[in-house]
Amino acid sequence: MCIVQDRNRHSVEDEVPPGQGASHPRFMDVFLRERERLMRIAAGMGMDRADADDVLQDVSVQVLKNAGRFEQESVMVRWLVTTTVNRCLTEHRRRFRHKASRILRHRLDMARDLARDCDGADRAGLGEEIEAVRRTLVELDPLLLQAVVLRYFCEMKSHEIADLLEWNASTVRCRLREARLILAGKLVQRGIEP
Amino acid sequence: MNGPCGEFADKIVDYVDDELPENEAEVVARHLAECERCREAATALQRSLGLAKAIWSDNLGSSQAVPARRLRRIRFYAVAASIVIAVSVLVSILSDHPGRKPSISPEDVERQVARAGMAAELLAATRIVAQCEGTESIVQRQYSYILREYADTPAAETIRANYGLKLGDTQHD
Repeated sequence: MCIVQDRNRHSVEDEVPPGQGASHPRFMDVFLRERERLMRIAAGMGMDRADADDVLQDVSVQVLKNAGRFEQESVMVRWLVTTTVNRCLTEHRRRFRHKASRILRHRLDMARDLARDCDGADRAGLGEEIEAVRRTLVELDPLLLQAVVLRYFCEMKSHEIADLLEWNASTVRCRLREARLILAGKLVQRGIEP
Repeated sequence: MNGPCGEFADKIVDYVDDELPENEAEVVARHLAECERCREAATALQRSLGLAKAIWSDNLGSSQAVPARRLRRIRFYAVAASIVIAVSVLVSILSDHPGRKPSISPEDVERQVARAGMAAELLAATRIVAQCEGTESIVQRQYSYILREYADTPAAETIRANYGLKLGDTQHD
């Protein structure tokens, strides 16, 4: 694990006094513009479409509550991303407590769909691999998951992620490598065909 | 676990991501040609990322769990709205006939709407519980409770109509 200080926090300097700086619609405009990316982040963090919609609805309420808090657009975007990620993590914990059976059924459906074109043994193997990857994603450190989702699902470059989250570029690469090796390691553990 | 060779682990990730300078990529490529463990790791890196993307895309597109939950929510609000509209119309009709004194006060309306809403909520919760195995007796008691405490509500009417239950069919709490 990289021991690099997490700078994913808003400093007091980022904030503007109430009544000054960014107007309320502007923050909402940024939110609406970033909505698609936030939706992908939510999906990457394990939400289905409905839960992702709920998460973004909550985030939009927070945007209204925090209107005028930030001045710089980059800070707004960072706030949106981290708020979405945190909200997803909360929802994730709640969801797995209360809806385990539904999620299990969904997993089986997905494995069946993806494996439709495979033969018996291959189908079982693919189902196991999907399950292994999904479980690993669920258990992954949120910081690693956040980096992986932004890089490979939101298709952002490493330096863009570094700018967005105010991490060092090396921290981003370090977290990406670690996450990728953990994911791959789970497949290697269960045996992978070359 | 048989992972990739220590000195190459990080570089293999960058290699499969195509983020290595050309000279370093050549070194890694040569190593991969010789080392089975690292080849296996490279394959696993690519495959796990492909599966992760499939899972994420599936999350983005999936909505199979939506209808039931959204439907329940919409149904609840629809019932509540219907009650409010019906009561409003009733009050309006009665107040339009000056000769006939309204038999229901605004306080009564408010109380009945609250009772109907509470009963609908209890019924919705009971239906959710009913989806779980081994909850039959709890569900029966809950229906019985709604029939007893909210007998004059649409929720109680639904229970009587759909489940053929009457007060006294089950043991009371």
